[in-house]
Amino acid sequence: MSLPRVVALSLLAMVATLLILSERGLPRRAAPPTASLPTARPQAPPVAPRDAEETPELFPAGEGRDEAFYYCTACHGSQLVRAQGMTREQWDASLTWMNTRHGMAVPDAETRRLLLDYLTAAFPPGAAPRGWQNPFAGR
Amino acid sequence: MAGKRERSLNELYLDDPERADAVVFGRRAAPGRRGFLKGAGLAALSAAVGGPIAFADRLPSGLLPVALAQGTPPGGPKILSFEGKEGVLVSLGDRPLVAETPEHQLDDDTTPNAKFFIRNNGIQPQVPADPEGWTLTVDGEVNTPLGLSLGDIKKRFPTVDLTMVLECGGNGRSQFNPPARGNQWTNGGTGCARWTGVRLRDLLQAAGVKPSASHTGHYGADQHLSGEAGKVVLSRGMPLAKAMEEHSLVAWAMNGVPLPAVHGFPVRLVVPGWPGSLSNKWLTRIWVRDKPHDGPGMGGTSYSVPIKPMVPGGKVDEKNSRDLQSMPVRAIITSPANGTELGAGARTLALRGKAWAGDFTVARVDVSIDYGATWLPSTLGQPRNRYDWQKWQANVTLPSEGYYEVWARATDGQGRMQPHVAGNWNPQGYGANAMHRVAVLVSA
Repeated sequence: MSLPRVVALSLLAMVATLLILSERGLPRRAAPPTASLPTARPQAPPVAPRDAEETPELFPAGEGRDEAFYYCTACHGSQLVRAQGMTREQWDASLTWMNTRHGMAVPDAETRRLLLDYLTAAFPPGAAPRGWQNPFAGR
Repeated sequence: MAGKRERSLNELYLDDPERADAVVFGRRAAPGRRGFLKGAGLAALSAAVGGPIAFADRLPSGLLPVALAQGTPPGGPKILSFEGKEGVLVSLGDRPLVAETPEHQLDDDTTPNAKFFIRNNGIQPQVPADPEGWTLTVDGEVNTPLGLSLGDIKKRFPTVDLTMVLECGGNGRSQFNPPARGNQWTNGGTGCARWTGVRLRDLLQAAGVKPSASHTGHYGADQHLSGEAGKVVLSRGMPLAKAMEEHSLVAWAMNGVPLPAVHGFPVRLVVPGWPGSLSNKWLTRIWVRDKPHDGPGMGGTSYSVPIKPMVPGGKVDEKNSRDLQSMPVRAIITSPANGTELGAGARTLALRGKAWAGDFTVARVDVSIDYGATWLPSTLGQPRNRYDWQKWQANVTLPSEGYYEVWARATDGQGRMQPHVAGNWNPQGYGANAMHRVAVLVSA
């Protein structure tokens, strides 16, 4: 397969995914802040490094992965999700918290169940390595 | 490979530590023996950490040596790539930008800007073209609402310089089991800088605080991550007494230079001793209230700890919450770094670090190289001013080659010590201050 064809197919797949997701009422990603900066400031970069290249493949495979990815990363980076390891009850409370406190788009009941099933399965307690590093691993 | 192994070990130990001991290392807890390591179990554990384990007879059953206790993310920690930060910070997230300072990078007496942790909650605002014209509003329960430019503030009120710790309210969160929600800080959501500014109380007094005033509410110019225009990112507040403390500052310089953009240029609050979320960056408004502030980040379980202790991971009752005010006592070992290898003949080890205790001073720091069976007092310095951290240092003797863990434990002026494990579990993980441990290996 030629490279342009691969790229075109990938783009088509992405657009299709986005269309499907938008029918579920998915939030759009925040527009990146424009970065027209005055030069004579004490320290230049006021805009956080962006993670626009993030894709759903950063999450473990499973039903609901893409939905979970786009709901969560509409606001924050995927790293925050990947760092969590929580029970179903905690994930349920987290979705409520994001809906009520942080402006997350409220999913319909079916989508919410899908998100909760996925997050519970993909990020259970103990799944995320936390804390500091193993200094002598494999020695 | 290693990551997978550790992860499953962690899970095993989380589920049932004694069973994990038996399964993994063949060590068993027996009444009176407390499952101390011996025989084949010791050999297996030694192999797993890469060397003989000193004081293995005192390593309690079910407690993982630190070399095994923490998983390594694939590829190791993600080092933040950010101009002005020299690649020392560990990234906890890009959006919002959050990065912590590894303990051994907090070895400087005063934390250089290049090593200072970052905790953004929203999207950083544009750097203003005219910083001296940046306006700060003081309104609400005051006689004369103020709209002062930064230039006016600098001219009108006395300038003060204070070296003070700023610490994220969630510092230490990764110590909680089960995991608590949020950024998984180790001990690195902290730094101690020299702040230059004016006292917040001078501004409040200039505005004339009414008798009805009881609390503040703080606002910054950062934008909400959702991109929703005008949506407030985070707006926390405090009792008026904290705002009137002489160390609560409206600051424009950090370590002698204008605030770096990521740290709040041109002006920010510095409210020492309490969760860093009170110290809004890109400060635009102080709203004086006649009741506790109710902005985003106030109420419920946000920045809160349980009033009555709850079952870890259990059902949350939002009414059983109170604001976390003073941060808890904490010591860190800044040298040696976790994972330091010493030459075969090394039998002495110089230790040093920092300690601080929110609103309080640190009364003592003790160190142990035998998992807390015995403790040695350190030499503890004095703070340069209130809310500064205190340096400590100690020398320990290592009786043999092998694997050691150095533990440090601070005690505050009220007699409160750091615990072995994070206690008072809460869903968003505030107040974790378990002792810091570092692993060192003396070569055979």
